[in-house]
This record gives sequence, C-alpha cells and structure tokens, in this order.
Amino acid sequence: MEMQDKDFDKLFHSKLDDFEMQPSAGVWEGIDRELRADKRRKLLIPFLSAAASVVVLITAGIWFIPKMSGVNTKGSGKNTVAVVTKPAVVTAGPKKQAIAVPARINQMPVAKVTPVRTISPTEVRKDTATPIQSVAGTVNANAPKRAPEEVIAAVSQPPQPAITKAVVPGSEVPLAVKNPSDVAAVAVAEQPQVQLPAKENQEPAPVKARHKVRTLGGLLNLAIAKVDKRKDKVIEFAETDDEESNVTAVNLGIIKIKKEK
Amino acid sequence: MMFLEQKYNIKELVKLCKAGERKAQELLYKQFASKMLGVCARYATDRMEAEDMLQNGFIRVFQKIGDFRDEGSFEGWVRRIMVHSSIEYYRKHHKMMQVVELEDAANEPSVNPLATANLAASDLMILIQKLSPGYRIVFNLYAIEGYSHKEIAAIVGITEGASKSQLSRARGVLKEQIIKMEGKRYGNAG
Repeated sequence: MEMQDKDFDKLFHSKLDDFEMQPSAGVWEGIDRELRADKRRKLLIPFLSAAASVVVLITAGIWFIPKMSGVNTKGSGKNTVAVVTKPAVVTAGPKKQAIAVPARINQMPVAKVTPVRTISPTEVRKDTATPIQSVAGTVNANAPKRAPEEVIAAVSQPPQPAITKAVVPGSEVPLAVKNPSDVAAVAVAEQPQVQLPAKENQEPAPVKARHKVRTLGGLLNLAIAKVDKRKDKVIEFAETDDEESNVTAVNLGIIKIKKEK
Repeated sequence: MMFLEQKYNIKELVKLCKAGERKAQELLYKQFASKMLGVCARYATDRMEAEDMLQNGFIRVFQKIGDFRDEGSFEGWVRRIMVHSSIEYYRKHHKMMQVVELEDAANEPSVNPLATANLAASDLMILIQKLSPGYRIVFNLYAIEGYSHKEIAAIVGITEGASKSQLSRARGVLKEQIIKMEGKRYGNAG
C-alpha cells in the first residue's frame, strides 16, 4: 500500500511538476501597475516625513516659546530687542522732525542740516555737517544695529568726554560736538533722542550697545533685519552673552509672540 | 521575444531586477510566467484564481528579490514564493476547512473514460483542482513539491497528523476519480 501511494504520487509528480500554462496579458499589467504604485509610495515617504517634521518643529517652537520667558533674566536681553527694532520703526519719540527719520532715511540729513545752518556760523556748519552725514551714511547702509550705537556715542559725548576714545567712527564726531555752539550740540542731541527710546537715553551705555553685535543672537538679528523690515521680525533673539541665544520674539503674521520684560 | 530572452541569463536579469529595472522585470516574468502558472494552477480551482495567485506571487518576487542570494536556484526560490503566495491566497479568500468533497459526487457517471497511460497532465490538473482546498494544498505540497508532513504542518498551520490524514483522503478521492475516468482497469490494479 505504501509503495502504491508512492507510485500514485509519482504519477502526479511526473505529469504536473513541469506543467506549463500561458498566462493572459492582464497578469503582467497587474504586476507592473502594482510595482509602479509601490515605487511611488516609496518616493513619497521621505517627502511626507520631511513635511511632517517641519510641521512638528514649528508647532514645538510655538509651544515652547512662552515657557522660555522665565529663563532670560538679564536686562540686556530686553535692551537688545529694543535697539534692533528701533531703526526700522517710527517710535513715539519726543521730537517732531526726528520721528520721521527711520522710514525715510534720505530726509534725515536734510532735516538735520537745516537747523544747524540757520543758527551756527559757517565753519561750525561744516563741522556739524560732516558728523551728521556720517550718521546718515550708516543708517543708509542698512545696518540698523550700528546706527543707534553711533548715535548713543554722539549723545553721551557732551556730558562725558571720556567716552570719546570708545567711539569708533573717527575724530569727526567728537569734534563736531565739542566745537559748535550750544545750538549745534542741541541739534545733534535732538537726533539721538529721536532714534533712541526714552530708557536708552536715561542711562547711556554705549559700550554695552557695541558688545551686543558680537553675540550670536545679535548676528542673527542683524541678518534677519536685513530681510525683514517689519517692526516685529519673523524671529528675534536675545543678545545676551550667554552661550545659547534665546528667542525673544516670533512674528508669523497671524501669530505674534514677544517677550516683554 | 525568444531572442531577447536568450540574450540575458537569469543572473544578469536578477541583478537588473534588484536595481528595479522595469524591462528586466518584464523579461524575468516572461521567463518564468507559464511555468509558475502551472504551479499556481495546482492550488487553484480555476484559471482565474491561478492567475490571481501568479500575480500576487510575482509582485512578492520583485519586492523581495533583494533578499535573494545567488547560492541557490533562482527558479526554486521563485517557485517557493508562488507556493506560499497560493496558500496565502486561500487564507484570504477561502475557509481552509471548507468541505466540498468530491465523494459526494461519487455516483455521477464519468463522461470521458481514458486509459491510465493516456491520462493527460491536464486531466490530472482538473482532478486536483476539483479537490477541496485543504486536500489540494496538502497533496500538492507532499506529492509534487516534496515537503515532509512536518514542513507542511508548519507552512499550513495544521498538525502533522492532520496533514497525514488530509493526504490520504486526498489520494482516496483522486483514485476514485481516476477509476471513474479510465474504467475498471486502474481500479483492479490498485
């Protein structure tokens, strides 16, 4: 019986083991279609995951920024933000003509020069004209960071002559402030008031201001300011001397978050 | 087409298929399609089912071709995938324990009696396709693929004992049908 089963199996094996049937054309088409779809799915996966991670990053960023406000206790962070935003925006500055300055930079030198001309003598006028132009030049050069710095230097000049050394732009600025009559000094003094917020004026810290550019946050802010001219940049960083630079503000159009401290 | 197929050997085609070359996939398919449809047909009830199994099997072949090592026979590898794909097909589409026994129809008169020697492969194929899926799978795996009961038990997910009893009952059904087909002669011999 065992033997017969083997023979029986053999009969089937010998006849059917290499049995062939021609498949219809639809089979290959189905295989091909499925393999293409497979390939497309595989190509889509990296794209989708990239898109997903962008969404996750943005969401996480928005989520965590409010919680970080407790971390940055240094006052300098606040100051920094104020300085960076200043040039691009018209602040509620005290003086009339000055207010127009940031938006229309070209008008600034004209506005400044006119009062000086009327009051001061010729030689003085020459002197004052130079520093003002230099300030205007810096503003024009689209370096919002530096403009306020120099202005601060100019302002603090009359009360503390010692700072003169710290001023980078050159001997012209201090000269201009010293030489001209009180009127000229006032003219110069007016200018910074416009550019700077009230707080900055009260406690002039020119040296501090100059340090800020050197931090990573300052660098990033500078770069962002070149692209984003709005008051609230798309993202702003604290310019503390800390190793890490903290985000202090985010402006995504609809969503605006700003750390006020 | 024959000329094109002969220009490539299987090893080259496999290599190209691993790289996802569409043309190579088609050539490889054409190389094995009719042979593998012959395999699938033994597990199927009809041609349509067999072609479905063949399609699923080849999709899996191309998806897993990267796993194939050149050590063994590629045809053997493809064939194993076809067998598994066919069994898988039944897991999805049929209840394995479905009992549509040919024994129930044992009394029907056979239409075309044939001599044993003249039993054509296509006749045997028809007999196998008429078996219930459970019998068919075990008989195929044991008698034609050459698996042991232990292996069959693992592949199908039944006990070895169930595999043995399914096999002998499958043989019984087949024998009955053959006797019917060829008349009394084979019945006397067996």
